[in-house]
Amino acid sequence: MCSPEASKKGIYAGMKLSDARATCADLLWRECNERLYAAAQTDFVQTLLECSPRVAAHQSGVFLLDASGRQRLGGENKLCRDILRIAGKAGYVNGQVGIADSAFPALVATRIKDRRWFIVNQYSSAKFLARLPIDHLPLSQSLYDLLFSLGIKTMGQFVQIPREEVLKRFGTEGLAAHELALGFDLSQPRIPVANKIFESQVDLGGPIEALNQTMFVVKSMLDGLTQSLNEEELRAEELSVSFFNDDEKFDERSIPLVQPSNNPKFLLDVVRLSLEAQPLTREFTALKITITRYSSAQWQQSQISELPEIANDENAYQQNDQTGKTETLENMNLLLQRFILRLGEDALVKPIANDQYLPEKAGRWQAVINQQTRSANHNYTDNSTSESNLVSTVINTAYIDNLLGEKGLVPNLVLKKNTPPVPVIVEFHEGSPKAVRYDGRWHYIKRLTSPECLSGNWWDDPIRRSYYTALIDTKSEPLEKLEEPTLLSIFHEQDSKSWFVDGIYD
Amino acid sequence: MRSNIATLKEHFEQLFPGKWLTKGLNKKNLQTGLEDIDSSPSKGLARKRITEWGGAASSGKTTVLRSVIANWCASGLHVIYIDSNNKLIPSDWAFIEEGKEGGKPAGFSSSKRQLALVEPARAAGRFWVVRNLSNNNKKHKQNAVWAAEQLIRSNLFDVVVFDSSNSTPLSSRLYARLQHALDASKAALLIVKDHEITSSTQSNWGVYTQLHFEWSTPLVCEDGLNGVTSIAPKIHGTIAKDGLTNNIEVAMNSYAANRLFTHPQISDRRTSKARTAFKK
Repeated sequence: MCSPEASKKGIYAGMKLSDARATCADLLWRECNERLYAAAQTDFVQTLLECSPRVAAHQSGVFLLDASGRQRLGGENKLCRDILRIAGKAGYVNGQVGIADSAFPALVATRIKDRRWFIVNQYSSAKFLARLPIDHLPLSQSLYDLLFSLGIKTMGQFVQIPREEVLKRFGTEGLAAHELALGFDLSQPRIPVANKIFESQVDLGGPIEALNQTMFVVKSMLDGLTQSLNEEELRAEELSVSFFNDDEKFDERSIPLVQPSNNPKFLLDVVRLSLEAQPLTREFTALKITITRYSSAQWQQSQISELPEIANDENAYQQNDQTGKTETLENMNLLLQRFILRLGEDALVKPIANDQYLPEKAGRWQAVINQQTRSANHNYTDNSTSESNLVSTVINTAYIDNLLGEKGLVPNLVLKKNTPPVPVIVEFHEGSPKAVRYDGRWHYIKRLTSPECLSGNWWDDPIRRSYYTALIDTKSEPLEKLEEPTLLSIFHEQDSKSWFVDGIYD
Repeated sequence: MRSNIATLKEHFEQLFPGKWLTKGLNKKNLQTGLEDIDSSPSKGLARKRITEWGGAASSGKTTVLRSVIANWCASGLHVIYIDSNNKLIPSDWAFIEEGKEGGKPAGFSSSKRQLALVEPARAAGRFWVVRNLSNNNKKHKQNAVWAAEQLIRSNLFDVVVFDSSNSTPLSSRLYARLQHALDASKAALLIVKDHEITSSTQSNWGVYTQLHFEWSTPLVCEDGLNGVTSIAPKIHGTIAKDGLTNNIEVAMNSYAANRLFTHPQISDRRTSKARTAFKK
């Protein structure tokens, strides 16, 4: 999505970021964080309870409140002012309020320009909607184009078509839109469900040095928690384990799970792994385990996109059947959990190509486990999907493969890159580089390719470089006799007039 | 007792090929696709063993290894690469799982074509990389060895490549620890290490096969309009196992890289006034 200010400068949703930055140099960009938005929605629903007992999040940024019975409470105008005041306190200063007989006309009322709130008279929803364009209706592009081509441009024109005719010509989608245009909407706010807390605390009575001595206590705590989760058809996504020493909390660790689980054995292994990665520094007398994030149990396959295939080897250690696949999945989960706990989520990565011409931007490392694919802890009905797109290669590999073959996609030799590039001194003779001082000694440049000149990224960190591949050697012997040959990637930075070694070809 | 019998069988197999090893045992060796390695005394690279893949810092060893890894992925094997010094760049490895490895050694027999005829529906193997190993208080070498051990023990990967180049060599004690992990696993461990040309290339205890690579002449230079556009030296190597040594010659196919992208470079369309304002 993009703000109205950005839209005025020619930015639109779905545009490539590099194109957007080229169009508008002072563009501000933030990565989509569905979990953050879901948490903000949940918090704001709780805040709006001050105005009405029945509140629900309808869509992202849209909330339904029950506005009935306001006669003795100051009227509907006071309600609107209160809501805007509360929204302003929470930081949402551009909010708009709409009041009508049902959800859809109220939603349309919030879109009236230059009005912070708009109240549709009782029983007048259809009349209010009649003069408004059909853009407000939730129509697919094809149905919208069809209606427009038939000359149906307002909702009033649309509702004049008989119901049976709408169903026959435009299907169930058209019928649903027809109902909305008449002001009928069954969406209702409801009394919010309080956040459930899954917590277990044990006072051990005396100081304990190592967790090994109390693993059976942790196991029973986790058994109880997972049973509570199972009863609510929920799965844990994140644990918090706190250690106390005489009422003083000295260690609190948050453990995100590789994938949601309500398996006590897995959770026990996760707690044990966390303690192996970060041992306790003191004795503890009490222990508390809290499920800080949970989600609905969904009976589907793992979100890890690649399940390992077991080799069909007669000497294989696991049989290639359902039991083996379950064990392998558990092994994979445990392995990923170990890596996340000890090294972080960026330790296990896959190489992904990127549609950029600068060598350092031509690819990126994508974490095998992506935080964004984990579902958020929300307790409202969210119509929008929370999955984010993991793959962002945008490389048209078929096009390049057809044109050039593999050499268009993958370089010839593997480069082992220096991060950051190493500054070097280059000696010239008759206008061309002849020697380079690298790794503490001088090397003769035996062969040097013609430069590849690249520039760009002016909106961020401008680059103007000439890249060369150089074959260097410590001796000035003829090319047929190489003493200690090294193939380097070096570049000349035009702005600073300096030379750097980008890396070594190996 | 069983391991002694297995070793004896392997020795007899070298003397009288095709008579001593069963079909299942043959699969314990990973075929690289390089004729010189696959027909050497080691018959490829052994699972459950440590193979040393060494050479000077710039010797072509990682380029050859990339071709071999692409071959393994095309064969359906899962490979993980521990980049302990964060030296790899993703654009060099982005298409490995699709079997595209860039500069291919001449005469390389890719498994992809052969496999496609036999098992067209077989999925390609996985290729992952472990990097950013300095994330906690422990040193990155300690983390790298831990990662290698965990990956071997997990039994989820067929090949674990440990790139320890540019860092202090692993001690024999660490080799023993990794071998102990391999004994209970099906994986093969490749340790990529840099040797200085003048120093000894003696391997550590526990190394089953040792490969060493270096650039050699003649060079293959691709000429363009204004001079040389690419340099591809020949790669010479040796493979040693149980005192037996074989030579390896790897010639890279000539190759002129073209940076071709589906979108042109984005030009700076701002006016000079806007550029000055932006700089301020």
